[in-house]
Amino acid sequence: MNNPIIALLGNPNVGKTSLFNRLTNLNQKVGNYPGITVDKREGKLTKGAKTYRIVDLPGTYTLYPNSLDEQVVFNILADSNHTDYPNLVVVVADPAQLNRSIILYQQAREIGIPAIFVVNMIDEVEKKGLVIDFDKLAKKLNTKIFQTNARTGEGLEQLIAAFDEKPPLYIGDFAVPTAFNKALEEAKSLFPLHTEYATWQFLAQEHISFISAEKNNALARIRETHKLTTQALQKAESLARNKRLSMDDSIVRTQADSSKGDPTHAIDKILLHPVFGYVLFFGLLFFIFQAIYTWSGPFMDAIDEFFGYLVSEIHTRLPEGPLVNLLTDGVVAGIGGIVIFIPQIVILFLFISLMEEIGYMSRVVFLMDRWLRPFGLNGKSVIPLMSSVACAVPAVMSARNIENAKERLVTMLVTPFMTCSARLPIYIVLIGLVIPDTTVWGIGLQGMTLFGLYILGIVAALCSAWILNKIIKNTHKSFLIFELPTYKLPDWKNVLLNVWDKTSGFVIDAGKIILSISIVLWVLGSFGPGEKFNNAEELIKAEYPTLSEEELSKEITSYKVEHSYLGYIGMAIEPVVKPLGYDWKMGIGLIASFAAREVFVGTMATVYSLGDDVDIEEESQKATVLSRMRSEINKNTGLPAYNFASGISLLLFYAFAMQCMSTIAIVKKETGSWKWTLIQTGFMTGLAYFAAFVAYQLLK
Amino acid sequence: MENLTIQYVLVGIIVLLAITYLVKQGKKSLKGNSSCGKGCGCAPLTNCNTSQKK
Repeated sequence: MNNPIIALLGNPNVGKTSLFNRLTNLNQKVGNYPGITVDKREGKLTKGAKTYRIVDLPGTYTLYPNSLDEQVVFNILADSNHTDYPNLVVVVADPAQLNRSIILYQQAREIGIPAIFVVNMIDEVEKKGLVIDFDKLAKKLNTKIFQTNARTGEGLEQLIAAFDEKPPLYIGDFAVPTAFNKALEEAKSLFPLHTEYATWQFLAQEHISFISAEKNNALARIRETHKLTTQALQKAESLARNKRLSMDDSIVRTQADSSKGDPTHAIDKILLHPVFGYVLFFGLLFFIFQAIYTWSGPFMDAIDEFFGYLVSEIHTRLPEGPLVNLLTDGVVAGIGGIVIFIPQIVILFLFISLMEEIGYMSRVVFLMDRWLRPFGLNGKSVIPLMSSVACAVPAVMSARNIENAKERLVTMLVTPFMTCSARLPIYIVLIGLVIPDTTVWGIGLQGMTLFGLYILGIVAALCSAWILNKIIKNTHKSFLIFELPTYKLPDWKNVLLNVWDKTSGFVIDAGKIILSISIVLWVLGSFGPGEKFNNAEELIKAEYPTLSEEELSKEITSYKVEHSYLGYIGMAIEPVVKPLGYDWKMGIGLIASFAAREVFVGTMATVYSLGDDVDIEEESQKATVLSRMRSEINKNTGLPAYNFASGISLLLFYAFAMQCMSTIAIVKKETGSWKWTLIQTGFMTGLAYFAAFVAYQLLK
Repeated sequence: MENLTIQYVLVGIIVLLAITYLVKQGKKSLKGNSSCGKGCGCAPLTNCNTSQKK
């Protein structure tokens, strides 16, 4: 026999997820609902010999979806064939906003699902000066009312004990207005569902994804015949339910003057202030980026050192050969490239989870939405956009907090335009090469160029969002109607579980892609066709008999890269990159830096026979690289390879191009689609090519 | 020499696994009902018929 399914249903910010975490402890998994990027939280609860499947449904106000998350709730509750169709729904309510939860409870009961009602955050009743008559509420809802505090575990035992009880029969609260009776009768003949209200729900839905197109069309025809719209039907229900509730308000709860002395009110006066609100928010963002940069630094260094140690151990313990090279340069480098992001992801999601838990995230949306909405973005998009200044990988992941599917997708697609820290080494080297170290009106030209590149990233992200907003259709209209939750202390269990989910999701899902690409790139750079690659050592020794061991080794490495598959691809793409002012050697750098942008400088150092372990952060080595790059001549033009025109062209290329396999992997994971990932990569690379081409042709 | 041959075989297997994984992922995503479809964002594809342009 299958385990009974208990679904937690409730408005956003009622402590539903805290209750879920409390019920399931660590016995839970987070995934996606099939085919969509909506978090599916599911866990198990064992009581005696019985095990329950607990499903945490996305937060919703009604069964009429306004977002993809809410669509999931309707699909599960209205489709008895759904694999998650519950045996019992637990409607979780915030004591301060009981009416909204009552409507949701009524809809669930009337659609034909057994449901019980839980007033969570019961400690807030007293804090807010509320007086709730639970007996009257129980009578009104025709069910037992449970009082819980998910943070402390209060009332949970009684709630769990009720999972086996069958709630009493429920008599519908909503009487269909007579004006809609004829349409409803017609719908009933087409959909003989087990309750009249279930048929009403079908009639009032814009689209039902689990029934055939013919049936959807039949419902649309009924509405058309009776000159009805789904909005009119939904509005009629909403008005009728709210009218009845407002009449009963005095019976259900009596509220004292709760605004007096309410700290939320006082805090919001500052945090939502038209000036101070923004100042504090941007101050907090600044602090978060500083934390991502500085706090993660020692951990990243430690990870780097650990993988360096691992590489040296492999070289010491295993015999030299292709397998060791693959393990060190492909596998360990690939895994290292995944693990290195963990500190940044943990820190960013620690802040995001805390902001969500405390209740500040809703204020961020409120503050930023008006500025970002014209570009098709959401108030919450500011977090991914700004955090991608540190790194696009955790930034793309943080877009998951955006409820609207289209806004989430657009945010994920434009986030990599922002100037991430990996672009910085290339910018610094190229600016050092092609921009004179002088000042204009007291402002350094090099600094100004760097600042300009940051601004360019922001402009590219916003303009692309605006374009994508025009192209991508919206399945649900996005409105900014939400309730600001009260501020509360964070539940650390929720915070840590969220951080764990995000980190493990990245390591496992995106990690596999990063590792695979890393291995493929290793093959391309480590093998080559023909005698030149295989006999590189003999050929170089014969050509440079007087070179020292070290110099010889550098020359051989450079020669091998030139004659590897990667080198040949670099030569093959030369006609494509020539109009941008690059030669085939730079082509090799472009391909190798597909793994990560910062690889460009290191690859060029290898190609220019400076060895493959150049540390650009060390001043003396940086000077060597700069001097070598300055002296390099482009054989196509006979001019310095890194002149003003080709340098600007390269800067623009790296400003726009999607040269980061980790970002590609995470976009694939978050969109669940290679299609959008490839569209994004193609669009960014196309734009990069166009900008670099125009710049070079104008400046050469 | 034998040792080197074994190493090359192992390298070949690992590389093949990596390529197979990437190709499989790509195929699955490109032909399946992926979450994000052209023209309708990250929404169920069945909803595209009734989608409204914002």
